Amino acid sequence: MRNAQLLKRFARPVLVAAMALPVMVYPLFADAAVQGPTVPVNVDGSISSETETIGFAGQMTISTRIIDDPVFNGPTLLELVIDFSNVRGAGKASGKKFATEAQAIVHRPLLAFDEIEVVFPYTAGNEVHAARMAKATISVNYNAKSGFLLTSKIKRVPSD
Amino acid sequence: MYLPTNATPQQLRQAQQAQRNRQDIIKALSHGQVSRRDLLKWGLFTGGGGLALKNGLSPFVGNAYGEIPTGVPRSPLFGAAAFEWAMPRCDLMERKDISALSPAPQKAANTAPTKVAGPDGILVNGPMEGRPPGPIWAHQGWDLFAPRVAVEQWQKGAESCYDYHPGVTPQHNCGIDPSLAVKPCFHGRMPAQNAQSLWTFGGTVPPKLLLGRYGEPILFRHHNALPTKVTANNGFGRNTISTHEHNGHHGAESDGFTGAFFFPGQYYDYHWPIVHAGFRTINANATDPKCGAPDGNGGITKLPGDWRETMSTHWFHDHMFSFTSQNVYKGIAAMFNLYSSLDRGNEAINDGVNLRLPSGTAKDWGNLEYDVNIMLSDKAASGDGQLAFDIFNFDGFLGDMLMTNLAYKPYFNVERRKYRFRFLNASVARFFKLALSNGAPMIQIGNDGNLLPRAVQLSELDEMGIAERFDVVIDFSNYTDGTKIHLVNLAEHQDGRRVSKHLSLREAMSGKSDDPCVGRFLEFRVRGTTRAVDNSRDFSKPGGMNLIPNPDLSKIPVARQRTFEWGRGASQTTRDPVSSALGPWGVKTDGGSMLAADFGRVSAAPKAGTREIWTLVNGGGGWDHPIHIHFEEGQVLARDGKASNVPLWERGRKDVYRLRPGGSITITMQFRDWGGMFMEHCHNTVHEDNAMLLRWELDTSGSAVLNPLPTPIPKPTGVEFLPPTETLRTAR
Repeated sequence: MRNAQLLKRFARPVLVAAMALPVMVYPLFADAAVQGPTVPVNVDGSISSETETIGFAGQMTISTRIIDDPVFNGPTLLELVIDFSNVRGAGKASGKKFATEAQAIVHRPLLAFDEIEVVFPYTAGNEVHAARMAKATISVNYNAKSGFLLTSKIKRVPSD
Repeated sequence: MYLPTNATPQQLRQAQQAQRNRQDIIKALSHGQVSRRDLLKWGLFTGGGGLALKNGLSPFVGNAYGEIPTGVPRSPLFGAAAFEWAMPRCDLMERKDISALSPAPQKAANTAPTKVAGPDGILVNGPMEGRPPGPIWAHQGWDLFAPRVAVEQWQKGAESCYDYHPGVTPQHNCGIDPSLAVKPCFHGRMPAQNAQSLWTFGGTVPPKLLLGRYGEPILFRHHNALPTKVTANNGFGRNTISTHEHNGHHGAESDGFTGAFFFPGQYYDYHWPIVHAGFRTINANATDPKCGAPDGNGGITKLPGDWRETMSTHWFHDHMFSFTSQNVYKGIAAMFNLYSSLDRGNEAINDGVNLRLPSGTAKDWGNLEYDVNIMLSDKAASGDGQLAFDIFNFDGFLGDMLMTNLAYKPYFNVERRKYRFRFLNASVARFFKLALSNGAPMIQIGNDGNLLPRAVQLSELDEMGIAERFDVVIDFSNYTDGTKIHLVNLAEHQDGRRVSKHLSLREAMSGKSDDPCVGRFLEFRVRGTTRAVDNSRDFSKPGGMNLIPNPDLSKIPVARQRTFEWGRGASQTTRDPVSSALGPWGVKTDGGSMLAADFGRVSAAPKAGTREIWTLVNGGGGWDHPIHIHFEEGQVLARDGKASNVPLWERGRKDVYRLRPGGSITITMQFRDWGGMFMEHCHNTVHEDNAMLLRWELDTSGSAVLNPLPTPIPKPTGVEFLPPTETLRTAR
């Protein structure tokens, strides 16, 4: 019964990446977890530091999974696995290239709308000693019929 | 779950009464007055294993005044505030000459008579060593790896520490004067723990740390000096113990098997050879300096084995059958750093082998100035400030005070340079997710006991399961004198089943979470007007992130594949009064029934010298399980069936595998060097104690030659051996 509900929920999941075409993905099924789509989410944003402004482009890859709790009837969980490795930064004055290999795994209760912030480091070349950090704000809109709509913004990390 | 700070007096009274009722249950269980079976029969626990949803018992049901859950009273803080108490460095265990031990250690257990705590604490005649007697439990490799260092520890109730050895000067320990007595308390404003509440190595705080070196076998003599009466425990904890060297690659007789426990009045000699895996077949002539140890004079002692198997950060803790959660929570946990030619704890020796991780330079090896062990755990206290254990159900216990090296929300002074932090999650059921309050990056260099093939830079670490260790480098060199940065926990729990929500930094630091252990919990205070000298590795150089590659197992054929599903609804097929447990949790092996733990049952028996692939499956979505496999480390091949799902920080060797809610993980391991009976279990120790544990064994290596191995059943008067209660059809 539970699987039937999940099947209905995810029979036609549509994920719209920001500024991208809709993507139709068919999920895999497990007892308690349903693999959702893995999609690129375009990155949009820039960070102004004391020295220059760094513009970000590229795509995060976000894989989604819905985890149900049929035993305890607890809240359904959303798992996002976020790969930042295709996000690129460029110094607007210096032209310096920035990259990251960071990944993040986030578990949140599944909501109709959620805004998820993840901080990640980025560096110029190998300069891990001079890494900076940015905050990706991922907006997750979920609708049982249409699936997910994910968008993202890159922002500066406010200081402590 | 914990009551909000503005709870009404009525709510508080109800919650306290319900908590007292639960603690009466734990007390009766720990005193052996009732069994879990009795609790089920009386309806205090449901058939599904949950605490009965009764008002006056469960914190999750509405109270008498409405629908508000009864909740759990918060621990009293006695005015203790965050970041006013220094985080103490761990206390080094003394390393002695073997000749200092009396009686001398021996290959097989010493069965000379002594007085041992019997039923009701009455002393009876029994063997002085609690290790099972005879050849099967004799130390494997005793002649080949004769112990060279003796470490002797007494497990006992809390007392002041008069010989604190942090291994560093006060400058590197927040100014703490080690010549002053250290009271057994979590904060200066909190009361000292009494001898029945806190049981630690030596009876003291801070937690202990052992330094070991490859090629220098250790004889760890563990005395059980706990109260002879099982009731002298402040309501929780069992006075019989078994010490597991977590991640150790040793014979089973020194692994801390859950059924090889010993009694007050006895000791147990654990023999930890500290060898590189594969020593019998790989680099057997010891020619490779990468497979070596610091020689004490700046050089390397070459050793046999596979250098890719080098390990760095272990810990050891109690593994008493059905009482691990209570005993570890009560303080039976310590950390263990292993030093090698690769990870020698001296950042200046530049011999082309040493990875030069942040540590120090004064000693040839084992410098701790910039290499800091941090044991994280959540605790709770009753109204009088004494450590308290609570159960809400069989899902897991959560404390409301986050401790760092058993100090409540402390601060730690750092210089302007790189530090290595070896984080250990020593909680019962709490997961952590760590970040720095300013989002600054950390370089994760190790996962569990091992350095990664390639370090990874992150601003938010992955969730850290119970017993996992994350080895992390943080660079403070760019901060100015007086800067304060906090370590923040982003993982919010509502119960012990799983993390309910990963918070963002902003959410975690907002103070709005109902989970008292979310948010800032450790304050780094940066000191120094100039940058401090730092001889450690430059991660920015080409190849600077490369550490220890994985052993290449691809040429070793896979002998077997096995599947273990971890879930609820376990049944018990055996009835041994000592080895059979009862609880809702269990393990399905290779598609069989979901079975509750019995350390007399053999669930898997890989052949020595082979490689296998094991898939660990989470049987449900409402919980997570950090699964620990003893003895052999694994390499993660896939998550949820895909290699691409394995994150960068799990691409090294591991010994604890978080399944994640609704997830699965596939690993590969090879079995070699030592034999005997080992375990595999959930390291949410409430799950483990409530039957989520199995025994597997290697029976054709070393001195363990019987097939099947008999099960030890310890008694104060000596250990009896029984045939296995059951061997699963799929075991061999």
